[in-house]
Amino acid sequence: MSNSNKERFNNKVQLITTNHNGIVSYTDLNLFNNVSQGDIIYDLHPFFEIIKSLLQTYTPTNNEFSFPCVHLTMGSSSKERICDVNITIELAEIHVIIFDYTETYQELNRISQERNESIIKNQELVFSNKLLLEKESFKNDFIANINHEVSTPITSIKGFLDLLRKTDLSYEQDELVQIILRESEHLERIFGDMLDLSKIETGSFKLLDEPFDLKDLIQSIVESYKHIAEENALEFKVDIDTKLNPKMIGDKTRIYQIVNNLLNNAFKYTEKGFVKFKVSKKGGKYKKQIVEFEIEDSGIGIGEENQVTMFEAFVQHNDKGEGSGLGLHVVKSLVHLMKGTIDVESELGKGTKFTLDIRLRHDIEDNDKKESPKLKLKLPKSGRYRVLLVENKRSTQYLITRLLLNQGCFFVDVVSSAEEAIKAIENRVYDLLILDIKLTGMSGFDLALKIRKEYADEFIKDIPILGISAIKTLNIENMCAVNGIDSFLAKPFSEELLVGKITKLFKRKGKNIS
Amino acid sequence: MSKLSKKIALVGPFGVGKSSLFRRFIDDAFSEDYKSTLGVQIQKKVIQMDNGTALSMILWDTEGHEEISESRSSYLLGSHAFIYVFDLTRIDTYKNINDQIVFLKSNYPNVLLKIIGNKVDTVVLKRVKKSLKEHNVNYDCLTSAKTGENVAELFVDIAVDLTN
Repeated sequence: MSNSNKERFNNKVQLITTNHNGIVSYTDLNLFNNVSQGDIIYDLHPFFEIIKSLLQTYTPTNNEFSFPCVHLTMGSSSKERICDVNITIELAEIHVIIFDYTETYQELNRISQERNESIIKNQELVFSNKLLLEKESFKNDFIANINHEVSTPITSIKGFLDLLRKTDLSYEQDELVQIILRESEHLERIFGDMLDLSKIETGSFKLLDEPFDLKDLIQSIVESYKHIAEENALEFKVDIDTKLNPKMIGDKTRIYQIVNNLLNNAFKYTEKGFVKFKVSKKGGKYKKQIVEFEIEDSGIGIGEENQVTMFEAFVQHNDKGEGSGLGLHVVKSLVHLMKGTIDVESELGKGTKFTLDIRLRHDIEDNDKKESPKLKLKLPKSGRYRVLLVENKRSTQYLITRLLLNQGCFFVDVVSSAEEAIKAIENRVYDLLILDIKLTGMSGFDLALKIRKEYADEFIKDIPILGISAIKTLNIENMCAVNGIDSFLAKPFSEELLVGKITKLFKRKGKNIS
Repeated sequence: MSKLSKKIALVGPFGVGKSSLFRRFIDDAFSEDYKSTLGVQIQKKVIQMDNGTALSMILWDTEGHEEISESRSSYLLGSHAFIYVFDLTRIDTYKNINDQIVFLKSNYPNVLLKIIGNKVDTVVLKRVKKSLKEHNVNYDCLTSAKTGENVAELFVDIAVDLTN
């Protein structure tokens, strides 16, 4: 070895020799110059305590031990070195050779640091994503569940209020009942918005694609706001384009929801002046038509700075602090789902105008057909239909019983479980089974399937079944059909909806009605 | 007064907070910056036990490996206890933990083993416990090197186990 190489090598290696008690008998000072003869090696650095263990386990053939990449400092003034340490135990002596590879290891450490950071970041992202998905799923389940729990009592509240309004009330009492009714509807709308939003966010929201009469839809909207305009002494300007094709294909309920939401806001935030509702044919080719809805008011208006955020969730821009702040967000999400657009023009103190373009398809086939006469929701008043109501909630039992008895043509038997229902249908002939799907014990689905499959008696197996539930999953009607339930009515429902469903069901099943 | 010296090796995947636990216990300090450990850092802390024993805990903070079998065997040699650390925020650090434990228990049957989930301050405990259950992770304690939660308790437990 040349002198220069030897010098370089010596500068990187230190040899320390001790006896079996750890007392240093020899050391050079190439790396750590504060080591002296007579020092106890265990006191130089805690690493050397390992020698105590090695002394207990070494054998003459297994007496060399190698420790790569050990961080060593000896004494407070010495700098840290990253070293490989070889320990050889002989009969009387222990040789410790320390190789300093600090520079090489530091370079390796830089590479390792970069690699580790990248992997850790990636793994953390995966975990955060998993947690987010779990949170989202929990939130959606929670909203769906709470919506179901709330729908049932709202049905009862609204139903009983309807019944109450038909009794002999004073003017003041009637006003109070109307306030409660309005607030119940408001509550119902908030929960509906929450559920819609949750479905839209998860991508599970599906628009219906079915024929409907656009003019009927517009007319029903106009009718429902006419009296609100009168009550509030507002001018309600309605302008409906006569060129509009009435027969369209789309999601009638959601169009109603969008327009209703905007009109509701217009009336809510307009104290004097007018609300204008204009519907026109904007364009479209062949089977397609763009329908433009304009909802304009002379109300409080929205400041320019708030127009940017007004469609975001949980944003309210009114002093009244009313609403959940979800309505406009749901409106915009629905419009986007329909591949439409929504714009707003507004000035504080002067009013607001929403312009909404929705793309719909013509129901060309239906144009050639003659309009079918509307179903009359009339049932004979001869008291000849016997209904079995299977419902475990007492308030709903009472409400439906009252609604049916009001028609004057039903006898109603009420049971609380599927098991009781089986006993009832085996002992008496019923014209209709109204069945709550979410029963405790045997479910409504199971009961319906049992009736359809296990009975030979046609008075039992062919009984018309109307399913009711506050469950609002997308495929609930399909699930009903698969399980032998003829028709489905979602809670909350009105007297008209209930009677309408029964009438349609009876017609379909060939029951004799007027 | 009797003196005892015990080697305790911190092992587990990289970035789980072994060095942070080490630093929290030795210096009662914490840094947010991640600095990967290369090789092994060794420090000593003397604990005065109730029975009068002065226990020198020689802590070996080893570099992280996804598989414990990749660790240098000389680092594990002569250990009296292993602290296997995983990161509660990274499933990859505990999804195969049982294989690592089997390796340690079969190769070092007489060495005390503590399994630690670190970074408890950054997680929603209910959700993480669900995930740990899904992956059949049986841990001894959940710690936070950042806040110090359960860190001193962990080392005291080990000291007690090693001196009894």
